[in-house]
Amino acid sequence: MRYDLSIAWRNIVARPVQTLITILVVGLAIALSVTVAHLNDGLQRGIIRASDPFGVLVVGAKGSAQQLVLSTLLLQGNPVGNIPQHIYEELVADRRVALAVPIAMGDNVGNARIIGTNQDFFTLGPSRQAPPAFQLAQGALFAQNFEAVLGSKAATTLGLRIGDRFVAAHGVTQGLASDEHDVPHTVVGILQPSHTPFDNAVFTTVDSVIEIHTEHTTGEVASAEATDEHSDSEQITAILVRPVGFIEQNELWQEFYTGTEAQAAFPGRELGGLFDLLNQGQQLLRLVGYLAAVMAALTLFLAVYSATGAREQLLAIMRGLGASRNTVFRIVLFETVLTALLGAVVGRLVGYGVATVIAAQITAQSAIPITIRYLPQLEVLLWGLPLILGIVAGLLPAFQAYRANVVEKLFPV
Amino acid sequence: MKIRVEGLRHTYRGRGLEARTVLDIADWQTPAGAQVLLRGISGSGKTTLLNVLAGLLPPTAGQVWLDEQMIYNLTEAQRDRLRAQRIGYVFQIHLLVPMLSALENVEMPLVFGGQRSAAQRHRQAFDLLEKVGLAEFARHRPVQMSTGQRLRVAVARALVNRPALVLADEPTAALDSSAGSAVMDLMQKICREQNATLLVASHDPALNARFEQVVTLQDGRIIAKVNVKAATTPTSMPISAPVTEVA
Repeated sequence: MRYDLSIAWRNIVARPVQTLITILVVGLAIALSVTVAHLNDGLQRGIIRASDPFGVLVVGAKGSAQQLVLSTLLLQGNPVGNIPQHIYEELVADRRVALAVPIAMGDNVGNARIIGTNQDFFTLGPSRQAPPAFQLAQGALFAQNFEAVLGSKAATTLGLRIGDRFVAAHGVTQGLASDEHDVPHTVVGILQPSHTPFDNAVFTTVDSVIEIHTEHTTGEVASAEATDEHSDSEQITAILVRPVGFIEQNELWQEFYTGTEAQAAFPGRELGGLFDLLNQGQQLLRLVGYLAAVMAALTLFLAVYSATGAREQLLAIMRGLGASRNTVFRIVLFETVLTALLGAVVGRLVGYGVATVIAAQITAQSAIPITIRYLPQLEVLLWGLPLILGIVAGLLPAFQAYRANVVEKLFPV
Repeated sequence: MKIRVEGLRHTYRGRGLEARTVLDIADWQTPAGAQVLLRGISGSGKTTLLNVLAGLLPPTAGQVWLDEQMIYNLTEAQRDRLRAQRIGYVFQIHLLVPMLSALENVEMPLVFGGQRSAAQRHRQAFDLLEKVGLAEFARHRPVQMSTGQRLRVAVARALVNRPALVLADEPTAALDSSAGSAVMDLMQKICREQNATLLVASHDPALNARFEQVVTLQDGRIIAKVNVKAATTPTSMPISAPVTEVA
């Protein structure tokens, strides 16, 4: 058996270009599956990890609940809208609420979102027992308006240090320089990395955000009759709510559901919906992966089949020297299986490599921490698929070699 | 190894072609350790006879005994094993495996013959390469060797299992006379040492004097069986020369 393997190996090494191309085709088919599966896993874990610290209910404007969760917890996309600040005040006073944290958005500095909140935000953590997710590395938390605390990544990318001043720009992402507000913020603290998208955020008081927007709104509509200016300006984007218990949580959700001013969303449910979408995408890509695998099998078959002429005489020599039909059958089959398994190794390396690069890019762009990890449940697929490909592609040529007439092949006319 | 054939006939039946009998030998035998030259023009049935004797080509009719074994009563796998262990075959145009070294080519029959120890295989193969004067070419591949060297590798490969029967098909065809003579000296000497029966198919008249028996084939039939030494036949005896029947 070892000898058969070594002859099969020598055969495939003797055709380097053909072998290399076949390995690459098989490798790319495997790489596709590896990349998709690992990225999906990394993305789901990254989203779960990023949304870990934030209570169990997110309250925000009516609209897409998924968008509310994504924009509030993962800082992805634009907020759905604003809600009156009195909702927050009512929730704070509600005995069913253990903690309510206001979130006000609308400005950025160098693409880092400015989050208006209060000091309760810095008590948030994965559980009540766990240490807070957001902890100071330097300085202090903001004590008054227009003081700012920077997330770790924002501090690095903006190049700001404690005592530095900056002006905010309108919008949650970077726009025109003319959109800049006049009132400067002063950096008073920098956070440790939290491995959430909030690492690329800047925190200040809710009032700072409201005040700056009041100024912005009044400037823009100075001549207009701003009858609802008060209600417009005293708005926030969302509220993170930790109810005291499960029953209270459902009661609150129900109230918001039937109310007209705002909605409450469960991050777990909305992210689950997102994962369902991701999984549907993955299933589609898996189908593409299977098609690629079929193409790889055909390439493998063609590679082995096209080498039949050269191989036939070699196998006939071996038969002439006493090799059995089973031996030549095994040699041909080993050729395709070895090639397919080499493709699996290449595919795994390429797949991991591509998944790691894409994960790093998504992490850099979204600050959702995506890490690629070893997935033992994929092992069966990663080795089983190429093994089956190799066997399927090799069966016909192996059978031909098995049935070959030795004398005809040894002494072709 | 003693050879005996009886009522041996082989007919090719190509699709749409007329059946063509290429071998038709009523009875022929040779004792163990004999060295026999099979002569005849191209197409006379020499290679077919060698292939039948090697167990590679089941005849259309008749029987073949190697020693007391009717080889076509064996299964194909048993014949494969017999060939690997007891028969050495120097194919026409040598037919070495191009991607294997000389040493690896010589080792092959040992592998198929069931020799499990790689070290033992290496040693036996290397010994044979030494005997044929190619020890220093052990790691060379066929493409890096001359035609004569390749033939000597093929001879070493045929002899490595210490076979009881050695078959050689036109072994000197691609060589000049001195190289051909050297190869034949080598093959005959080793066969004598190992008491192996040697059957050489050739149309090279220069080989006649080397053999105790010369069997001439024509259209698949034995038309002459000559004991050369007894008949003191000149080495350049033409195929159509008068023959002395061996008893």
